[in-house]
Amino acid sequence: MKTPSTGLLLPLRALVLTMAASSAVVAVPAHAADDDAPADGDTDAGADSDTDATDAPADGDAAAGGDTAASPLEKPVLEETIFVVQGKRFLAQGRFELTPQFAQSVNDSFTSHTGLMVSGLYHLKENVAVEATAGAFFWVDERSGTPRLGGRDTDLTVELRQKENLAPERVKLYQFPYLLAGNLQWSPMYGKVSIQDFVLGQFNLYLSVGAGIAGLQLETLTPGVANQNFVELTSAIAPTTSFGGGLRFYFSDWLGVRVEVRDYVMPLAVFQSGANAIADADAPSFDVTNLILAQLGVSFVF
Amino acid sequence: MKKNTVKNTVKHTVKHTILVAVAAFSFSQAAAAQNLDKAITDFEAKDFEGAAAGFYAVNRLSEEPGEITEAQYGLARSFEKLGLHLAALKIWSDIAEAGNTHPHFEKAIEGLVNAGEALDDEINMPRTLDKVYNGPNVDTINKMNPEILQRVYFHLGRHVFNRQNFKESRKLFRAVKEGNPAYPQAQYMQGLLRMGVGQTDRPPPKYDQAVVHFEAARAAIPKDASNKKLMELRDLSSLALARLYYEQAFSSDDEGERKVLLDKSKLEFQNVPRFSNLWAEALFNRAWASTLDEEYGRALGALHSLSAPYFVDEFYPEAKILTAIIYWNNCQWERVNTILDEVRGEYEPMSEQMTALAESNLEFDEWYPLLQKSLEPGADQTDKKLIPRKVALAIVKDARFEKMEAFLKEIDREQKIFEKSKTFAKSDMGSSLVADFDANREGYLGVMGKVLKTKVRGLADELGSISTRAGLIALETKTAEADWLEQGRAIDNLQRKRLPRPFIPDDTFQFWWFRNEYWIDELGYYEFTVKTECFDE
Repeated sequence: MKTPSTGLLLPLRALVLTMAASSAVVAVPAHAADDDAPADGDTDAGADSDTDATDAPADGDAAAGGDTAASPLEKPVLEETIFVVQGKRFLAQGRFELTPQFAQSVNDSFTSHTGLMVSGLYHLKENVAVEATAGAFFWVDERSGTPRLGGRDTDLTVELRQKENLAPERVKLYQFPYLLAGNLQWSPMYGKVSIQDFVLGQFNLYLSVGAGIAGLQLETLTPGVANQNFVELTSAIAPTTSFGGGLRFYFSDWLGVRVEVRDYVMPLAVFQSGANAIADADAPSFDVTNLILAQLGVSFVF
Repeated sequence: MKKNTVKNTVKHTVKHTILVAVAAFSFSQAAAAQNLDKAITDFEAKDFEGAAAGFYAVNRLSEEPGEITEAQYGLARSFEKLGLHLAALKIWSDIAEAGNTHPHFEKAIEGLVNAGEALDDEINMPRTLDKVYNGPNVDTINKMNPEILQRVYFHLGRHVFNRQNFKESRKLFRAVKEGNPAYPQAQYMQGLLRMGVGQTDRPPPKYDQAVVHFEAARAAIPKDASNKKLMELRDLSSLALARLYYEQAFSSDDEGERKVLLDKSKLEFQNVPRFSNLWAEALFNRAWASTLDEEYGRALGALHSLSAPYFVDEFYPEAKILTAIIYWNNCQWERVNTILDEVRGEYEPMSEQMTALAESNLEFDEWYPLLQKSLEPGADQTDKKLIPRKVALAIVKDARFEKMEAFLKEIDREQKIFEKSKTFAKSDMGSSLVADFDANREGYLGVMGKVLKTKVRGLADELGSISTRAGLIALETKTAEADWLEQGRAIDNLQRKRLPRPFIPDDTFQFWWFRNEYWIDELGYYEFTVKTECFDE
């Protein structure tokens, strides 16, 4: 190996006695697991820049991109591999996160659910957490005008019943007064956002998978009338799995915001006979129900 | 007869004149005494402007020494209460220079130190103290309150340090004890003394003792200190320690020891907080330490941070030389050549322009206006009669110059107060002091001009020397290139590609590519992946 000489390396200047951007909102997500190897696109860009760099100073021109020499940003660009490895501003590992959330179902065909969820997270690692979630759905009972637990029929269901005297399959009319679930979260990506260099927020994208139970309600079969009484179910609980993902923004080491979408998948049935038969079932029906919830909440980390 | 009449008339006139003079004297004496009482009453009623005008009148008119000394003291205290530190400094100096026979001599020493510290005055106040600290005054001063006395010692110490009397200065700094407000500064100065800073005979540095002093200076400043000067002193101490370890590492032949010292040096550089005044200096110096430690990627990263818009008013021409050295060490010849071309293209004309300015017939008092003109947003950057903008920006950020500019602004501020105050305008003090301030300003502009001229000449020389070094590196590069060509090796690597991302210690760290966009939170954390292109032999 050619040994580089340090003869050119001169000591620092002696100790001195004298005590004497861009205004746009930008977001640059980075992929935690990306390019361990050079990407093709990057390689090409590199080769181009190298050529520019070689040419630019000799001409005394501004760097590639038509920049002028006035700004430090505008110097000739020598293609370099430049990166940042910086400690996270806020560390999550070993900390709890409590997030009250507003939840609204978004795939409402025949029933709709609005409610509140509370998520308790423990961050096992910076990008792995376990979560316990509890939520309740509620609406105002049309007859009594008082709030009650559970979902509601959608406008479509009401219209079908009242105007067409029709009803969807019975199994599609299940409502869910509550949910309890345990999840595992993994954050494969992170990013940050800067607003005028004034606000700098970190975010991470997470995926979540888990299982739990959901409470069940089923309206009595009363054609033409919605939100009436509920039948008595032999088992008013259904097992559910959940899949989801979301974004978590941290604005400080104790405050953040979470936006997520979660799909609770439940195998549901309405039996006409047998131990779990529904008293007023007119026909058996089966379905794998997807309750997809959009959730928005404020996170408190401690 | 006629002669007698004249004689009588003259006699009468003389007699009359004497009577008038005696009466006037008695009247003025009585008036002065009355004014003194009124000024004291005004002072007690917290009407400090009225009190100052009154004391000034007594000081000027009275011939009674007792009244004059009281009026001087009252005047200085009134200025002090009004936050007119410069005016107060002048009066405290007058009293102090009168010696220990003045009844308010000790108070004046205290007032002088307070005013000087408020003004961050490293010239007038220490000079007055030095002038006063002799003869019978010494005993009086040495018997003063220890807290004040040690502050006096510190300022005297720095004064004699600047006059190259290092033995005496060390004695004075050592007299400043822990707990005194001047203790951290005194420790810092002792550290400099141990390092031999400013000493023309260049004594061998006493590293261990210097470390003790710098660390003591830093430790004496509370972690939650909010005083800007103290915070800066803490950072200066970290910087001094970092440079000390670097210097030790540079001269060490033991590789293991060198590594340990460089690690300590880099750690101390990182102790200078991000976004502090000394951060840029720490980054630049850390690049040298990383280079010596052969951490070329980190060194280039630190230099890259300095090219961010955040540091637009920082001027580190040597950064390019260091970049060239790093690429030279990695046998990346075309990069070295590109940088050297930039250095010569940018700094040689700049150096010539500044040399011409320094050798021009500009009067000292013309330099500060020239600097201001050079900094105007619309200033023509091609105008050879101006200071290059980068240099002008660097000068105004220079700590010594900042202090001088602050002092000039204080002169202007106080002058305006004397001009605009109705109370002062009614008395002859206003016009008299405004004239004094004018004279002070003029004199001070001269001092600033001298410093500016020296600074410009120094920077011109520095740029010249950088160009020379660029020439030397270019020569070495040409030799190396010729050597490679002889061996049939290509000297321009245009196949260079983006290299793999670096090792990330753990998930408490985040990784980002730099894609030509500087993020403020990333400054100071940049690194390059540099792959040596030297051949195995």
